[in-house]
Amino acid sequence: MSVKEKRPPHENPLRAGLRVGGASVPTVFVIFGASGDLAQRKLLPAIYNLAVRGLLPPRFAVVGYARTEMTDEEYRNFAKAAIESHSRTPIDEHFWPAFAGLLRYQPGGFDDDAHFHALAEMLERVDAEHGTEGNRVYYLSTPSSFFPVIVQRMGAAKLNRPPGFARVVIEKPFGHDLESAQELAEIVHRPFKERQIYRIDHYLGKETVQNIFAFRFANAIFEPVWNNSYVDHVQITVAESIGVEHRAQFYEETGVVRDIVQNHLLQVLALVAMEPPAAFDADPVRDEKTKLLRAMRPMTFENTVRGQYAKGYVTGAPADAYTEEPGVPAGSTTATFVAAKLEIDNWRWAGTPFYVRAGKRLAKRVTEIAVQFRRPPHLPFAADAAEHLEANSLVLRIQPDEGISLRFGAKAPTPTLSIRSVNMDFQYGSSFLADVPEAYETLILDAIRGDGTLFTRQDGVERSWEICDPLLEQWLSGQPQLYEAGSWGPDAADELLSRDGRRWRRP
Amino acid sequence: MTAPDTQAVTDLAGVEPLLAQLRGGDRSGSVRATTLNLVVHAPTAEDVNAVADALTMIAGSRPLRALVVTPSGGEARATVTSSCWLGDGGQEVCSEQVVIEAEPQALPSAVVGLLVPDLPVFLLWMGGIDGGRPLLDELAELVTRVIVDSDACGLEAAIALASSSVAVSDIAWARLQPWREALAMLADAPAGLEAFRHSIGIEVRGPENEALLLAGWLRSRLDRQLGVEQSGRGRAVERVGVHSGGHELVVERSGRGELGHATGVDGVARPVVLPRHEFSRLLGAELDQLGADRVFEQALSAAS
Repeated sequence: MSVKEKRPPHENPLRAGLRVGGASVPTVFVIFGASGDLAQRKLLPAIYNLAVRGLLPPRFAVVGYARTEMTDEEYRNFAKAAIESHSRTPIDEHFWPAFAGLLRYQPGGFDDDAHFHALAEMLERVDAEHGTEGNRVYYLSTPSSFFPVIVQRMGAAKLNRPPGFARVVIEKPFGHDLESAQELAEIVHRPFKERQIYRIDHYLGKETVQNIFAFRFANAIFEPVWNNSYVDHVQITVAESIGVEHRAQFYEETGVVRDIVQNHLLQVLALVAMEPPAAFDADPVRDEKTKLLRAMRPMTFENTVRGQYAKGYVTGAPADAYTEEPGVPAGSTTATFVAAKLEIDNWRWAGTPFYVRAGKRLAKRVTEIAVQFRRPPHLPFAADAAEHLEANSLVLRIQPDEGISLRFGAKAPTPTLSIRSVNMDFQYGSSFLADVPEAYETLILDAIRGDGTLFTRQDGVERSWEICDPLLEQWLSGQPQLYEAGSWGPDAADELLSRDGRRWRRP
Repeated sequence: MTAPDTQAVTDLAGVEPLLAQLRGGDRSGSVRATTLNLVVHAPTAEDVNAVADALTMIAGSRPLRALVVTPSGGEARATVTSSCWLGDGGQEVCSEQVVIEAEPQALPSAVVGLLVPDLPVFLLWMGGIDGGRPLLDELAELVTRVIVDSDACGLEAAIALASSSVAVSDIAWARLQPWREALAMLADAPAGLEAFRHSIGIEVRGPENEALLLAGWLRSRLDRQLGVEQSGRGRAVERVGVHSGGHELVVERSGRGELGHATGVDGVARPVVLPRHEFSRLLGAELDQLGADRVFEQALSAAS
């Protein structure tokens, strides 16, 4: 992502030309919930990998804050164990002492002013020891129910007004519906301004999601046909082969629309359909994404299918029904699958539907965007020469096997003219066998650099809820349609497209 | 990396068909990705081995065609190698290496015929320049950028090369990146920058070449004259001190590891990481930069 670091008011000529790509402004990174699952699995390994790659500021420190009683040394051991278990690169014992020296820990509760004041005092000491100049990035790595109390206590302890900058990173869910999203925003906006808030959606940190930007806006040949004159429809699939696993309680409260559609799926759709931003900077990109979401009609009962997985087989192994999963109440009506037809009322996309589907326990794990082009207006071949010719399609595969496929017609090597569809397949991994950073590395680095391009703005969050809320209200009654685990969803999902004379692509 | 496939040919016209054969005959439906050409001047067998080692480290993330040229007295001959790396998903990334031995005057024409069309071309010049200048000039006309190591070819030769129209970069300069980063950090605070703006000299414990480059960098960035003192016989920089009035701004390596400390005008020594990057990593970083490095060119110009 572009570097949008807030530099000191004076210009440092020695910084010119340094090929860093990382952050340089001194910063303390404060993790609330520092002993929790997310910190162990994602945050600490991501910070370690950034350090190993030389991308952290030269003056940097991490302060963990959680209810668990630990000393600095114990937290360093805790972090080392977490990194050993979850880092994509193994611990370098030569480098570890330098990294461990950056880690500090302050025990404390989330609803106790005295503990927050103690944290503030500790941060001042860290500033003095590490030269971090009062610049802070706060990462709320706690269940979202703690966000309101944490930000209120932060405000009371003046953690929102350090000598340098203050940014706060919050994890989804950003509310449960429009109303709760606005309530949360109102609470967070008391101590922090919108530009200080970084709402993280880890999907946007994936290299291949960012590659959508590059594909669309770094190539001149695709954008002229990227509209309703040439595109018949677009299909977006976010399929998981796993079930709810140990997250039954969470899933019962969310369901597939809140878990996937309101955030990941609409964000990816926005990247595919938005207008080119004037610059690849936070506000121009987020302005265009929000404009696109504003042009999208809210989801309706008539244009959607909801499903819930029943017993079946996934990749050869038997899979229980959703209602048989541990923690799921019998008779649950929670949707684990949704298919929807989304329509965008703007000049570029009017009349070109976007069909989306997302679900658990589907045939395989895949996330892809398939742009289905219109057929040629006239085929100057004998009827039987091109009878099996499919329309052109362009598929952007997000995961796994990241890449791009283009389907086009080619002459088959036969004595008579015969046109067949062929796929030209580009695998991202066959061009760059790079050490691809984890999404959290990208997003944490961006937060430290002050680049909000890949983070979600409140107006975008609210518009996403406006799109999903009508459907969620309608879904309060009725039953989801059952689908066999290991299939591609209920039959009604196929009918959703077949009534428009179309069919789902098989990913 | 899967075991590389290597074959030798005596007719350079046979190189391209041999590469296609090593790729599996460009099976129908296959798509090959190549991002750049790297021409390497490797005058000795030791250089050829060194570059082969470096390519195994970097070519997986930068699929490339390397044309390694070695001036020799006999008839032209080539050794062709295709190396593939398996990704996590089982996909293959392949790079090609062609080692060409031929008379110096024949080498540019051999290179022209084997460059992958329409992709950036880098020339890595290993060893000294003096005797090879005609060959370097001819190869330089084909390339986007010339990469030298001024520790091997000498700073004066690098300066002379940079004064011609070709874009130049320097592995020795790349080695100094952590030191420049640490010094820049000391200038982030206004008081630190003020001290640099009044600096009068730089003292480097390390190779003379690097000392001159660092001095050139500070002179060109700060737009002022600075004296330079060099000490030590080591092959790597160990300490840099910048004198300014009553202050000495210091970056110093601690022992033999990659850790060090930087001391600014407040006198507080703060930890910094001063990695000793391997040649392959430095070369890889150079191949990622397509444009000219103006800061380096200005530092080089001010180094002498």
